[in-house]
Amino acid sequence: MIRLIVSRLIGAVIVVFFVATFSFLLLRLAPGGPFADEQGTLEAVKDNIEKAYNLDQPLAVQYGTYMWNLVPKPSTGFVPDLGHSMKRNYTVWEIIKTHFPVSVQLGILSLAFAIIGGVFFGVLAASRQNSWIDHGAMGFALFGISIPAFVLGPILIFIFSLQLAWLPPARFEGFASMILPAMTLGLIYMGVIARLARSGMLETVRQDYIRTARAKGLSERKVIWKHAVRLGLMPVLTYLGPAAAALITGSFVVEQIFQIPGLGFYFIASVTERDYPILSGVLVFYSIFLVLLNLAVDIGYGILDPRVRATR
Amino acid sequence: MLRSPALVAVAALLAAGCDCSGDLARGEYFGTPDPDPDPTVLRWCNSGEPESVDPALATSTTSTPLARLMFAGLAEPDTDMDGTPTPMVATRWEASVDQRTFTFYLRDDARWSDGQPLTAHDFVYHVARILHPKSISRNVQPLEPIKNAMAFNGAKVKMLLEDSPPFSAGDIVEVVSVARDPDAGNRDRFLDQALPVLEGGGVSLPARPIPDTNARKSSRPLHLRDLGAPESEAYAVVPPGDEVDLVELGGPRRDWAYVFWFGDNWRYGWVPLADLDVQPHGRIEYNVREIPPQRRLGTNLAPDPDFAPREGVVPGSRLLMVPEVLGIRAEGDHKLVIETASPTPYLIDDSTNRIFQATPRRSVARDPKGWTQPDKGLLVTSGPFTMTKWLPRDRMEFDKSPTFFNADQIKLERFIAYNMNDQAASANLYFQGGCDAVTSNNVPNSYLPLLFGEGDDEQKKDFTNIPYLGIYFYVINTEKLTNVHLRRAMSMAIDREPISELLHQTGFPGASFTPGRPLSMLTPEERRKCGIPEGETRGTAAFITPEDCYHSPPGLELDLEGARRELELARKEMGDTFPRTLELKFNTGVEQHKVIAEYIQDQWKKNLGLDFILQVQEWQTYLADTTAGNFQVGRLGWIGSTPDPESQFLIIFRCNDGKPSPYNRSRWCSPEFNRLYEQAQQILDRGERLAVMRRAEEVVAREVPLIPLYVYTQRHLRKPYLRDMPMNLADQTTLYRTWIDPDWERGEDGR
Repeated sequence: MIRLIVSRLIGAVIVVFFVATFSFLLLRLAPGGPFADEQGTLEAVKDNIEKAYNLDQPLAVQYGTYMWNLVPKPSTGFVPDLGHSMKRNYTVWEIIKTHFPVSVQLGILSLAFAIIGGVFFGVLAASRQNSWIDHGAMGFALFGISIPAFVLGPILIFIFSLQLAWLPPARFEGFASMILPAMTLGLIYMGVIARLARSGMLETVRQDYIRTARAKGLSERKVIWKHAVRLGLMPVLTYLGPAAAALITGSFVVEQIFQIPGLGFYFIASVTERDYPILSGVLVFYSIFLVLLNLAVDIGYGILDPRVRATR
Repeated sequence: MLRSPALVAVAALLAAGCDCSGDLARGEYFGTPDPDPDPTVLRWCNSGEPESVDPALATSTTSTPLARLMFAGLAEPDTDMDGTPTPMVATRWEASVDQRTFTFYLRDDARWSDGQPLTAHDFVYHVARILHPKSISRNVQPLEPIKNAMAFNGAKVKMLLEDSPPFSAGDIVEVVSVARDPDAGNRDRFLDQALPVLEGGGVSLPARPIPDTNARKSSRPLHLRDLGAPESEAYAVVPPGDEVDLVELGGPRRDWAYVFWFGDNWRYGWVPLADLDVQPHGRIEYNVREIPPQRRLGTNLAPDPDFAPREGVVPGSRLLMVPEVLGIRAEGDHKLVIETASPTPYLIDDSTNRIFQATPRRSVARDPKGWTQPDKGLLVTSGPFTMTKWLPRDRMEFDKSPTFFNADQIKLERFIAYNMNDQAASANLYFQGGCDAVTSNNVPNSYLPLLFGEGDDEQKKDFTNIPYLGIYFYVINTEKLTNVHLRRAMSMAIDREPISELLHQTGFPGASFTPGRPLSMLTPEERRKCGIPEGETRGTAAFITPEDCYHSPPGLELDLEGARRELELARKEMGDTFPRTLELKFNTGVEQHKVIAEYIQDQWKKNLGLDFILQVQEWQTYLADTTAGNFQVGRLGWIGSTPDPESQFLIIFRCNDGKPSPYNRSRWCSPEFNRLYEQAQQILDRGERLAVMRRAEEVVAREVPLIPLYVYTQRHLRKPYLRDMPMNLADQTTLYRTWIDPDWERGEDGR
């Protein structure tokens, strides 16, 4: 286990190094810059700005400074210095600290929605295989997987906010305002989870111990929800790690539609605005986050399933 | 602005004519207004996250109205359409006969929210702060007329601290170059050896900057603090050997120094001058010269030919850049005097601008980037409101400021701005009653047919569409399309009328460059004042002062015969070099750019037989390409903050030694235009000056460095219970007298 953790952490450092390097170089190679605008900028003003942000230095020097700042040092409390935004009055850490928790909140809510809905529909479909309930549930799951958020979101807004006036159409304030975004973001994952749950359950109900349970004379509800679900949902569990990561880091479109102050906006805006420190900083942060999440999932498997531990 | 996905889908629903949109379209308002609104709070759907609300740094329409709420300016825009200045902190002002000295008399009851008086010194500090190179403000351009402003921004103008013949102490000189650098041998040995090799190898290195004489170091820790405060009250400590920049001198004996330090996310602070015991560039000797009295450094105003500037060589230890070199000073606490390098009547117009909304030094010094965030406890304001909460990308809350000098005129208790960067989300929130007003131009285009009531309905009563002080045009790279006949043909071949419909009426088509109100919107009285001949429909008009009107000259409007004639001339002159296909570039992100480009492409094909290839680019790539001249025809917009054609619009085409300004992507330089522009700059009378400007603009219209297409409009959604919320051409209004009428349904003024 310790070897697994150590090797993963070494891998993480390498991943972060490459992410930082490529994000640094790619955006700087793209045309334009953080201070270009439609009206044009006076030469002296441009010079002053470039000096202030070290953009007048050779690229190699800028890169060296950036990478050196990323190295955890005692003077910064062993936190990598991700720099200061060139377009906003915040450091990259301040932006992450303010906005990442919102993304996490939205992600967890969507995940809860996806799990509850997905398991419900999946198990329901499996327990009535090939009935109209099965086809209906799986049809709904397929709909969820196929319809993109930028179509679903406005439709939900149109129905529940503008027509029925039940829920707010935008902003993230209070539980009512979180329902539509969580549904919009979670529906795809609900669909996937429903399909995983269904196939897992179908495999499980053919096992001997289920036949035993039925032979004992247990009610069908008890057989399914008490005995079969536990094993049948293992594929769902496996999927939760990547799903959580994708929900938390991939909510840009939903954040935009509902005007939720998550981190996704900065990820996209920093590219169009050429805000170099933000893009590199958010990418480095996401990569650390994903590596740690994967590590947690691996450790979790190790604890749950001895076979995984043995092969590593 | 990001393209909204929400907008597309809702638009699709609306376009599909789905019955469900019936409810949206019904009623005289867009969404049912609250019959009993809360009169204490105004909730405003703003257009995104402000990049800054510091008047020195704020540049966008998202941020400047909020800066205006918090920081009182010398003047504020009048409530009429032209928004001419009316008194705010300055109760009156006067210009000298030569239009080069402007005196503002400030009220004596203006205060900061911490109780300190707001004085002329604060305005001097604010202007000097914007212009100082280390502030990296982008609001420098409107301050350009002020004496020595541009040289100050480039750190090129210095004051002499001691007599050094031919100059004496206190003289202001321009630094030209380094005469002798005793330490250069050590410092630059590597570069000096490397340079010839690198340059021989085809690598060009940037010219070495002139070492700045304001650089200082200290052999002991520097304790940054307020002026005169003891060391124990320092809020930041500069480690020994760190370089700081001396910004100004102060204290009764001028023995304190205000310095800028790059460390710790930038700080300013006062230290005793004696603490700055190391001057890195003090031994360098500089070539300096006298500044001609009439010339603005960095512009093309020709120096007096009879004037021979004195020149000399001065050691760096005697040269210092201090705000005193600028043409702005306080005479006592309540008199602000501004001197310009040439006659500048339009300086008064700018008194409503953020460049004259003073900022508090003690707060800025402690955290130049973050002092406006309320949770840092540094925010001190002077305007009608002060910010209590700023949740990034979410909302900002403002409370009425009891220390504001006109506090009794503020009727609202609170003002909330929602930072919404999605147009559809803003409009939806407004529809549902989540906000009381949507900031201009944040209304999605897909909602426009509904708001205009296209079809049978009437225009929604809470929706307004009026001209905006901006012009949408196609810029022509005159270095690539050098033939003027071809450019004229292109402008004359466009029927601009249908553009209005393509834009859902959110543009006023026309071929004039300087925007203003379309002539059809003027009253007969205004037409007479403007001297617009009977029957004239072309051009736009704006009142620069209540007396002086500018009627922009008509550009080359649709004239098919003329266009074909010009095209023939172009073919004849260009011969084999006449291009077989041409290229029209525009940027992604806004649907209209594509709609317009396709229409214009079709017009040029149909009316001239010219083949234009449309090229779409991502915004930053587009900016980089058009700036570098890597285009033939491109689309751009230009927006002014006051209607003055000289300082806001035609300034684009002013060339410096035959070099176009950075604003001028057409790269068009006309000696005739330049001559007229400079001639106007020496005229004192505003009316005469505008008349010469008009002749200069006629040159632009004739030579077609750009093809104006339409004047922008501003679209407002405002609930009917809002009162005293004026609109003007530049969309720069003061919101502090705004109030909410809880009895609006009974009110006679249904708006």
